[in-house]
Amino acid sequence: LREMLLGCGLPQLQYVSRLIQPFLQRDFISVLPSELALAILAHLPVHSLCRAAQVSRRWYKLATDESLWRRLCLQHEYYLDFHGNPADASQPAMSLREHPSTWRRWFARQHVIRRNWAEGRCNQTVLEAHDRNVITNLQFDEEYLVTGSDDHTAKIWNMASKRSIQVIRGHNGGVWALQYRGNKLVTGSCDKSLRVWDMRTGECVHELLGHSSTVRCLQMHKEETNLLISGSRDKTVRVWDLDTGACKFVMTGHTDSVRCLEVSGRVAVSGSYDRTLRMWDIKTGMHLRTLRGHTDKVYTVVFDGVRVISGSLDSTIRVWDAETGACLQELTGHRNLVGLLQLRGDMLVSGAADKKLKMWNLKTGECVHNFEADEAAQHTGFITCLQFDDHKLVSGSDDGQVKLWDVRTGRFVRNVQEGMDIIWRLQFTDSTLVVAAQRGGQAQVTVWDFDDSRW
Amino acid sequence: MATIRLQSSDDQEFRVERDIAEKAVLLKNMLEDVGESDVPIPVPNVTGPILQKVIEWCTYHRKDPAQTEDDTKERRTDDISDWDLEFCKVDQGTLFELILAANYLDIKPLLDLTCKTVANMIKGKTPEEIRKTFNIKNDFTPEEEEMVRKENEWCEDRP
Repeated sequence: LREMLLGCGLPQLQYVSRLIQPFLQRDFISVLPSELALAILAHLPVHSLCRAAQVSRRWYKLATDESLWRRLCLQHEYYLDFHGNPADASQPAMSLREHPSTWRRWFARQHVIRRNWAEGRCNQTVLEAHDRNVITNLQFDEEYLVTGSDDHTAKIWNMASKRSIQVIRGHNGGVWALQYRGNKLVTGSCDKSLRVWDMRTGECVHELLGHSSTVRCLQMHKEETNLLISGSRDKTVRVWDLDTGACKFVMTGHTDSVRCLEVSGRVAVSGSYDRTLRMWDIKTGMHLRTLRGHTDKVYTVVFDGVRVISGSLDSTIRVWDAETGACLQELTGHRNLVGLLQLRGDMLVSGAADKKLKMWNLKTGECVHNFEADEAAQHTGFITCLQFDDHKLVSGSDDGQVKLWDVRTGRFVRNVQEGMDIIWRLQFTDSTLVVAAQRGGQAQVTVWDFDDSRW
Repeated sequence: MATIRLQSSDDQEFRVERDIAEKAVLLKNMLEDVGESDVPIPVPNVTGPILQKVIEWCTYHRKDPAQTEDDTKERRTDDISDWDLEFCKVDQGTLFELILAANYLDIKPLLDLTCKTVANMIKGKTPEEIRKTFNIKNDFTPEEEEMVRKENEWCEDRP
């Protein structure tokens, strides 16, 4: 064979080489046992995997294997909702129906939605609401959007049609706190009362009377759905039975307005302008302990059952041991009122009147990100609202801008909204962002839908 | 160090030190069962030239610590050492046999390396380039091909 090849000229050798080439090639993915083929495909980035699916039928079958996409979903933290099902599992398979690929479709959807967030590809709806009054509160899910206002009303919108379906009337003062679950809405007002509403009919089911001043904060109990806890400028915290409308406990001790509260299990924590936080047993109405240390008014609190974290006008954030009441950490760095906190696992994000946002790792007490952008991209007014998840942070400010940040890098991504007078409130889910703001003196709610399968 | 004898499917015999052979979990378990013995261990699924390559790899990596796998980490294919890169510069037929041998002998890091090497041959290529690389026939009907292309469009960069 060697002798023969030595006798060949270049064109002949090239011919032989082309002839031999296919014999040396192997269709690894088709010929290997499928678990080995999958082990190869598992090393591919998403983009290459999608291209591999277009090579041949066998490659398609393997490159769309659920085990690969399940792992990719976990790696990218594209978690399923709490029911454990992809939200779009009910949709018909897109193609090749003998091989439905749920994790893959879930991944594709999440991937596209996340890219739409980053690039600003969305469907935008503007709702005119509450005229020239302040929107004080905002809550939405797939079915409802509820806005509360100092015009004494709350409005219920249908999220699918974006139409107003109920106007909640009855309060004789501004609505400064609200929460709904299922079809039950609770509002707290400057008129000193709380009201329970049936969202389907707009009817007031109960009027909760007892507070002697503005109701500033309220929370429905997560597990015991008939329990409501409220805090008021009258310095008290109250526990209510939503089924009967009866006040179960009046918890006294604060010497100034109760500004914020958070409930976990049978314990409620309230933060007050009296510079302290107090912990209460909502089953007995007993005072458990007082958290002392802040040197000025407490504006915000989060509580995960183990740790209490509070933000104050003294510019600090304090982390407390819920069991002992000891102050574990003092997080310093902000230069003005810390009025906004959100906790996810061990990660805490704070927003302050110093126009700054910070992310803290509570395991170490370190500030992880300062969310600093070029000067042109910084917030120029105090932070009025924020929310973050595993990927992004969205912040609103009285500079009239809503900004999107990458929580992994701390980098500024883009302005979601600008040119408003002030941003009041915001909330987002995976695919939807809702912002309440003022524009030209007019209250305005904007809904951004980043899921292009719905447009 | 004790040496043991390995016999390939085509009856070639290799004498290797025990710790090298034990990189293969299959051989390690066998040796534990058999104990000290000078009887050649048959490796019926692996030919001589491939077994030689495998031994070459195990010899170079004999001191490597055991690996742990984290499934939640993104897999990397750009962390292959120069020696391993050179080792994998073989024709596709040999690489194919190496994957089968690493799997049969249960040498996880070698299986990982060879799978990564194939993945790197796929990475960044268009479907047509992939077909060319591995001599694959496109057996989609035109309708199916269009459907599959559409289905995967979400992953391509948009203008």
